[in-house]
Amino acid sequence: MENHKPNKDLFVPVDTTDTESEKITRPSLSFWQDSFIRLRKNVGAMIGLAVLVILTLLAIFGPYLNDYGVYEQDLSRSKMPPKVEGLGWLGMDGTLSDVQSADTLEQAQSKALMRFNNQEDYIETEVVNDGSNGEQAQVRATYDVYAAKDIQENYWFGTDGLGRDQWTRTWMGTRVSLYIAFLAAAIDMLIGVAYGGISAYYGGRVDNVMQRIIEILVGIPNLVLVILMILILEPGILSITIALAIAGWIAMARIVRGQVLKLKNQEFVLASRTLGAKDSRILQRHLIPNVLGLIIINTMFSIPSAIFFEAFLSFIGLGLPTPMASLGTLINAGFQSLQIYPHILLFPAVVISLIMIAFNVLADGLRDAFDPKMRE
Amino acid sequence: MENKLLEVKDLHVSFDTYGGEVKAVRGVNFDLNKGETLAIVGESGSGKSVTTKALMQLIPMPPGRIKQGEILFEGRDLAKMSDKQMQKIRGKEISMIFQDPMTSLNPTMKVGNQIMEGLIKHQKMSKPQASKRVVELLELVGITDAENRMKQYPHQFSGGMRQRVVVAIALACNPKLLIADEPTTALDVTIQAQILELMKDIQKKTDSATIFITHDLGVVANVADRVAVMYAGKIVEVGTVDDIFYNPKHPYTWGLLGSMPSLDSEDEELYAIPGSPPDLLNPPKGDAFASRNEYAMKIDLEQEPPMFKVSDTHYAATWLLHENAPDIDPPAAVKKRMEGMAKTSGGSEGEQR
Amino acid sequence: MTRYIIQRIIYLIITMFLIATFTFFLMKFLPGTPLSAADKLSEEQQQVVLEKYGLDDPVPIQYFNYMVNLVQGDLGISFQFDNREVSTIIMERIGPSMQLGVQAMVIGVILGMLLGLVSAIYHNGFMDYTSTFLAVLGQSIPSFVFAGLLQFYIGVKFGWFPVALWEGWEYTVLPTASLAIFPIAIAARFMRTEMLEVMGSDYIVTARAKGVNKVGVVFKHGLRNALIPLITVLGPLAISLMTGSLVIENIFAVPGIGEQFVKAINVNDYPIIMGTTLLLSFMFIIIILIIDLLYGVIDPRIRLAEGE
Repeated sequence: MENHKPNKDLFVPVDTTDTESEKITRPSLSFWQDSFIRLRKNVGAMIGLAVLVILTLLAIFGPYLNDYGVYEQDLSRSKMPPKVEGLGWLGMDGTLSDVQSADTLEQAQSKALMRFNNQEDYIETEVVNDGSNGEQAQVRATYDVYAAKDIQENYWFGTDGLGRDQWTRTWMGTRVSLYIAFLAAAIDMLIGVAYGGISAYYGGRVDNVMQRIIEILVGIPNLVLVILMILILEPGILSITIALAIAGWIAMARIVRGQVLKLKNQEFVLASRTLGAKDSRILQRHLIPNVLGLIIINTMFSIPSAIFFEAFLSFIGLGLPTPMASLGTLINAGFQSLQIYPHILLFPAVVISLIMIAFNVLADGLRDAFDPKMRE
Repeated sequence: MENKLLEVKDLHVSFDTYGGEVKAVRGVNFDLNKGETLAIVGESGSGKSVTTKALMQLIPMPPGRIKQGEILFEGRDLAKMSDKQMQKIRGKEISMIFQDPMTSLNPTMKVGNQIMEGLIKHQKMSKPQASKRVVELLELVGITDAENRMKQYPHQFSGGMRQRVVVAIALACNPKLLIADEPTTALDVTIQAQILELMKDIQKKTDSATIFITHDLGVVANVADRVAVMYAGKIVEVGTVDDIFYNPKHPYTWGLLGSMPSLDSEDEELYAIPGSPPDLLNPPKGDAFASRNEYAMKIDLEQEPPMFKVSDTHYAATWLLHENAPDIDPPAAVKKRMEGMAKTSGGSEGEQR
Repeated sequence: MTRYIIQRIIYLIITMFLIATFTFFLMKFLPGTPLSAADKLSEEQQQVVLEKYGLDDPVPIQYFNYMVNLVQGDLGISFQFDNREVSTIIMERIGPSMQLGVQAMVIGVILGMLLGLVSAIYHNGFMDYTSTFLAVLGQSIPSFVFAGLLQFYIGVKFGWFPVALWEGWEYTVLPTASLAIFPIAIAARFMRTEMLEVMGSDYIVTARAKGVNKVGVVFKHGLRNALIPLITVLGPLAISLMTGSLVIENIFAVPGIGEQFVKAINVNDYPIIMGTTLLLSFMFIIIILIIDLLYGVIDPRIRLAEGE
């Protein structure tokens, strides 16, 4: 043990009072800075945010990027397949194709041509299986709709059953969804937070009465409430708005109430009160900042469910009336010709899925960023 | 040497975090004889809990890992054992009592079943046999009406009662080594005393060796044979209770003793150790305690001190013990306190108030 | 406990009464009558029809009759199907809806639980990331979009299962799958979070310190504690399934309540709308009650707190 022979000079006292034992080695960050940094590090949430920004821009400018109107019908151009110059490899080449099978090659060939009304000039056939191996003969017919109808301009997303441009209508429908998202957030923030906050902050009889009202409202399923509301008000954007305003804030009110009740009796609030802080200061400095994270997270989670609800209502015919476009009505229309023209369903379905995924992922990211339990 | 139950040699435990490798335990050596009680004391974060959890491989892996070192338990190296092999040792040969009885029992399982689990697993008892043994155990730890109590759930027990259950679980298979990780910290003072008495009592009856982790020196004086003082992942001083209380050598031990209030010290101030423990993400060069040490010397900032031998039982890692170091007496306050300690404790079998 | 149940049942009755009243008066002020589609009828013929359905009585009398009938389980007579009782129509159609709902719920919760369990056990591993990703997709993509995908690919392209209608078990596969995806995703995410939290708790360390093996720790100590909170999502899931069945039954032409309800909305068949609304509300409230009680039975902490 005694094999160390350090230099004798080292055995002199040093002053350690100014050393850095008390230095804080990590930079101090406010709650919001820290949360923001953590959110920015979350790849999924950032992708979600980017997708939302792109979709919003498309919803704003998309309908003006071509010359077709939302309601512009042209039955001669109904159910056109999508065509985008340069995106032919994605299947967006303005053609329809189908494989027909029959016992002999000739039968299959003629069936394939019949499938597209025998417009032989515009149909290319390709033998998939000539039937020589004992199986059924199969022929693929590819029909160039744009050439057949002599249409020069392209429909990027194709057209629907009435010849309306799907591109324009999809982005108009996206506007509705985004409006609903904004609306749901506003309702949550204004009604839900205020109701829950007032109920908890004033407590006593106010709280009692307000909670009884909520208990009754909670007993009625949202779906039923919304459907009934829409039945009296007639389908339309206004009735969906009102329906959401009636039903959308309850969860938020309960969460805010619970949180405020919990915070109200916590030591740091009591300490502040003991030091003579006024109600307004306690509200501003202690309650709101501590509830805000929770409010943001819950708002973010209620947005996708509101978007789903609108699409759902439109889908079952309680949302926007025809001929208005909503992603729900577009998808519903798509189902009617799903087997032959899947593209009519495809684009609105992809867009609503993207919106929902983006909001959910962003909400998850926010929850992780704001959750104090996740802090290192 | 025949008597040695446990020998820990140069144990290093690290946690891999996003910020880098946190070296929680940095080369710990100690040993333990059969039937002996060793207390490990130190501030929160000094690595005492991690050391003992590492003995049973209970640190979460990943992020934790035993980086190097040996843990020889009756000659077998626990550090190299697989999880399967450890399962046969945990609960049977080494068992553990945890800090917070409110959370360390499974809330959805009857108390009796939780005690029985180890018996059925390790001693291959049938259920009726095991439940007979559970009744004995519960009576041993001072729970009356054991037959009915064993059919209840943890939330029907008070904190002190739950800790008795935790003790019963630990004792179920007559372990050779009992590790108690701050078993009284979460309890009321009166309950603390009861649990301590219970543990002392049980130790007399079962003769198992105990490692007692605590930051409460009063508890140490009461239960331990030997004491190891840990700081920043290392043992800085080790000795018998008398060595540590009457003849402490390390300035950190002085600080610990000085910061302990005693009844007969009305007029004097407590001696507080300045600053806070170092960041184990980047441990400082030299002696980790140097920056908080008012007797620090130049060498403390450059070289880590080795363990200096004070007596056969007493070692301390401080350059103050080097022949070239100036003679330094513990601060007056601490000295006085040490004398006071001698009066009130009167040896290792002191009375607990 | 009994007192608690009785109290809950009283609440249930009050809520149902309010909903019934609310529904009745809403329907009274609805635009359009069942006759608006039939404007070929002369004034006299219309009068006959109104009388037949009691629609010319004063509103309070209509309300009273409605309530009396309701208590007897009589939901009135459908406007669109002559002389058919609403309760009969609902009873005829409840089978397929129930079957779909129960299948989707059972499959969804079991698969979701397994997925979440795997996620938690292989925390931060490849399996975890995959199942978390799938769960986000399942939670986000609307059931009717999934239904479209399944119908087009599995039904039309590959022809593995029938595209629509209701003529045997194979007809239930696609609608059940479309409905089950949301519960799978929710249960998986919930299970993962709960399991991770439970596995990090002190009593799991206690169990490990006892020498319990990995399987025992996960299943005996972890799973049960993680499952208890899972019960709380069953209610919202059941309700989302009820909502989802409205569209799914339509897409797959399943002769269930949902399909009937949507049809009724389109032709202003008030008695059917009212009857279905009441049924949905009733089921909703019952489900919430059952889940509350179930929670009490399974969690010993609540069981005793209520008992004392």
